Amino acid sequence: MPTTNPFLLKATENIRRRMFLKAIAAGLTVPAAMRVARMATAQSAAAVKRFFVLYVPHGTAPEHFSPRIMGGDRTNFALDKTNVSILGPLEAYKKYVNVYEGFQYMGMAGTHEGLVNCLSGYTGKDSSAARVTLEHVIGKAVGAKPLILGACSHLPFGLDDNGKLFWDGTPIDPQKSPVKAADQLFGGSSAGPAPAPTAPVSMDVQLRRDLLGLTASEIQGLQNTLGGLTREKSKLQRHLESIEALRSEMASAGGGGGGGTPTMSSCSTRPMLPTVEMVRAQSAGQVVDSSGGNDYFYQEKNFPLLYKAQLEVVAQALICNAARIVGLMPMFATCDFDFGFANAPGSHHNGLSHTMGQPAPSAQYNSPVTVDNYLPEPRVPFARAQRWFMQNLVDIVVKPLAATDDPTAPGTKVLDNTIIYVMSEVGDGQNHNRASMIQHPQVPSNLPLVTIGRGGGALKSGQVVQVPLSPQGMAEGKARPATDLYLSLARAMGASNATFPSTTGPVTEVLA
Amino acid sequence: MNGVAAKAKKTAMSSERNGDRPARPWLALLAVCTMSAGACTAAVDGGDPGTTGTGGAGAGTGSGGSGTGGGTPTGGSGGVHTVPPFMLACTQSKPGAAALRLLTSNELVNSLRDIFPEVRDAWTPSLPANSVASTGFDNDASITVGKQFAGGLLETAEAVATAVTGTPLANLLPCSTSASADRSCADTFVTKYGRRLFRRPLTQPERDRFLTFFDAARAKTDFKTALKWTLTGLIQSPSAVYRSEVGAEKSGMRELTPFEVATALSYAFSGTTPDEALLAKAESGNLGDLVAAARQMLASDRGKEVMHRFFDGYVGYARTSSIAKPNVAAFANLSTQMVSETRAFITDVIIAKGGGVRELLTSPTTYLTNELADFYGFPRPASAFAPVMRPSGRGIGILAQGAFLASRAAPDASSPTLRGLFPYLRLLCRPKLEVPDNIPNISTPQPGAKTTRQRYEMQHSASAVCSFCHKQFDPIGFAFEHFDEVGRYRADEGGLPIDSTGTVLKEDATTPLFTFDGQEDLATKLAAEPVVHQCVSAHLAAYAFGSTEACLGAGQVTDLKDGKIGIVEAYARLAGEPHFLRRAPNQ
Repeated sequence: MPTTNPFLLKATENIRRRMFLKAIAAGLTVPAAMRVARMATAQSAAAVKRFFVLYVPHGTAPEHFSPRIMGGDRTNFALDKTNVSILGPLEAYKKYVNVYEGFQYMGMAGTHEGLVNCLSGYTGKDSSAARVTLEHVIGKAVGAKPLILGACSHLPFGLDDNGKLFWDGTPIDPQKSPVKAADQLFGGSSAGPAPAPTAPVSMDVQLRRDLLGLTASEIQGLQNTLGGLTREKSKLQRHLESIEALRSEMASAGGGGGGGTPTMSSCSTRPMLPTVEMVRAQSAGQVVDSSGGNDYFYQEKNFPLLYKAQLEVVAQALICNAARIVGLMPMFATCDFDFGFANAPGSHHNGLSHTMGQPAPSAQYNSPVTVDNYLPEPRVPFARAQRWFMQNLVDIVVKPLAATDDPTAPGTKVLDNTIIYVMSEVGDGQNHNRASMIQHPQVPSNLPLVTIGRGGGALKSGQVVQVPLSPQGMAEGKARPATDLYLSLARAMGASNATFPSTTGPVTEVLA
Repeated sequence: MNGVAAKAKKTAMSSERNGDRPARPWLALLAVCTMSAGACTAAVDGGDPGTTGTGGAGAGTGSGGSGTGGGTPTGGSGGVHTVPPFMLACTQSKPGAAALRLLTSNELVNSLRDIFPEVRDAWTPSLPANSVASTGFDNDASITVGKQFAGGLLETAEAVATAVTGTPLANLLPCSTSASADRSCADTFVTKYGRRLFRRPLTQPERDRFLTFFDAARAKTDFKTALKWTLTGLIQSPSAVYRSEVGAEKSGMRELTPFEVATALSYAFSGTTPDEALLAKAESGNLGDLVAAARQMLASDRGKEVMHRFFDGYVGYARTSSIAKPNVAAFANLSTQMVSETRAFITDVIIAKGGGVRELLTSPTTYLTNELADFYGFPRPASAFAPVMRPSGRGIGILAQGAFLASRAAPDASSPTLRGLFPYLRLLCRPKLEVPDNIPNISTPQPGAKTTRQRYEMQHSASAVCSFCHKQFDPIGFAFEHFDEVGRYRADEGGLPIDSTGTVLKEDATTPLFTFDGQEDLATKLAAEPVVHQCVSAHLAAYAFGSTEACLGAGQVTDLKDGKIGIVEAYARLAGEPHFLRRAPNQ
């Protein structure tokens, strides 16, 4: 079906013109050149879409986050209001950006431990029930295995609730070593030609799958011996489902081991990863201790470099289409690293994010609802800290994605076909709100939710999406479930049958 | 009475009706706390890193201040209590539920290295981090196998199987060197190693199943490769990765089999799979004196490591080596030594000398390097990590260790809240209070102008809303105020006198349990409290059993309290609990 998306129509037109001219220059006849041009655009219509979700811990300071809308036009807004505006680094990429206001996390989960529910929309309070988070829902729908990365994403010793952001039935322990992640994606340990994809040994593939079948039958057999032990039967059922999911993944991937690479890279050479190589040198061959030892990858002092290295992996994974779906968790909820390295001295959680905003002298209860009703000074350090996350995202991921031709879709940039979703577990860092609301006094506070990119033209970008549109609605607590946004992002990614709890429908304003 | 209070009262009444459970008078109190929780400071948020609670009913709290008119419900995220998971003491010991307990990564790796010592360093595990339960331990029976673990397990099993079926196979299975190696040779392997991996002999149907798989593989490939995949299957089998503690129904209970008891014994007290000798005893049906066996295991290196992992989870001191203190440059080079200091303390005071709760809390020795001694201002040791007597007034016991004090502090200041929460949660077994919304940060350090205690009191004690919860643990934390954010003694704070007196409240959060003056007095008085011994015992049981469903009888706790036994012996005696032999009926 021909697209009606203005972005895609324009891109298609550009590609056709360029390819037509190239074909003519190559000596083809006009009809032949037109056929080549049509083929090129047919290819671009099948652009591979990528999705990247980035967690930024501990909420935000609304006065340094919320865009300033000009003249009531939600497509005319400023991100860089001051030199510490958290979204300031995105100003140059505003056409790709959506800022979402008026959403909430549903359910009874509290404060930072509610992290376990944020991306799934699960509304229960416990952290033991199975759930699936946004990136995995999309991954399952589009047949891509998510790459889940972390930078100091949990404490040594083990994964507690403060680190359980990503779920696929059970919580995912992110890959904390960018070195290992890069080597798995691109092979080898130095820049140069990427190794030819190793054809899986077909016999091993077959035997591995047969073996999983054997294990599945053993689990079923064990279940049958448990009589009335329903809790243990349920435990085995989850195990069985995990084994079946592995088998299914192998079948669709045509081989690979249990932790195999999600997608083969389309880059012909191993990308340059200078920060990853710095980590490799500094960590001196250490690997993440599976039992949570105190190695390089848990140490606070290494966090800034690890975050940047993981972003580097993300950027190249997306550009090379080596991983279509990526999640990154830098730090864990309630993590209290000192952010002096970002010119924001103080502990990130208890010190910076819990700094209380102060109303501007002019702000009264009956004054207009505006982010300008807060004094900007008290939370400048927190804004600097949160801006540091954003600045690195822009420098290391957004910029290259916006500048790089998409190898899967000539005529478009990788960012055109990508959605980067930035989120946190609470809204105002001090207030801990998980719903959009009006704060003391007369300051709208929203969950800090942002997308960057267009998802192949399926996402209408360059707007501040306000749901509900009226401040009164927000004051009355009529914020919309964040899962409505997830539904929209999933549809934009091509996961048309994706479902989430508590949805009331997709956010039509953002879908092309 | 609101809904939460009603539910709390109902829960408390229900507990009282249960003859085995002690009453929990704090439940009704907590409902009040729930209602009154409001704007306090952030520190309680990070109260006990590494632990997270579950359960409890929810109630939203309003946000926004008085006079603003802008407060709106926040979706019910604040001020909700969490019921602690521990039953501290029962008249009679009560076993918990039957379970399939997933091996932790640590237990799995230990087991595979012990079963295949020939290749112990020839493979690398690919297992994700263990999930940590609300008890603080990573071996909870509720943990399940997700796809990530299943994938990591498959990778790990393949790595081990590849190593085993390489060069070492000729010694492990001489028949494999024959060009005519066949099914019977594979059967020898499956029977021998299946028994070790399953911790019991394979049943005939199980043998048949694996040999049928071997046959199918052999039809496609060579003997070694077929055997590799068969071994991979054995390693990732549910019979290998779960510790079966299921038993069989008998007289209204579930009696564990000797193999299940042997397995529970081995993992609980040596952190690894039963050895051949123990399996042979299980096969004979006579495991002998379980407590004696537990003692023997705990005396081994693996057994000592089991105790260290207990303290890793219980105290959480090892995280000190991953944190940073921006105002103390020397800390970066000393943090790992601090962790070693506490490990040496546990090794000597608790493991070697058989110390109990009293010694844990009040031992005057510590274990230093010259660098640490200089840093703390203590005498230098005779050799690295040799014992050193702490100077008088410079703290006693594990609560004065640098790793404890540094890990429970802000990056730039001490934290009475974080430090007070450890005795509150882990020594008194008081309930974890869930953090409300609207928590401003504690004011920044004001050297020479205000002490840390003054800053906390201004924000926590002066506010009735904050103090309702904070009065239960902040005052305990004031005991540590002579120690800065890296655990160094300070006579004063920026020239201001330090007040390290305080009060520990009873469960009703109102009546004083005792008052104290300083860390040493607090530790000494805590060590004399029966509830502290009950609480430590409950944590030992949770660690051994992977659950809080079992309840210990009074005798065990009494001996610990009376100083008749130490912590290691108390842990060993858990092998004599009914939970080790039988379980409650179906759940």
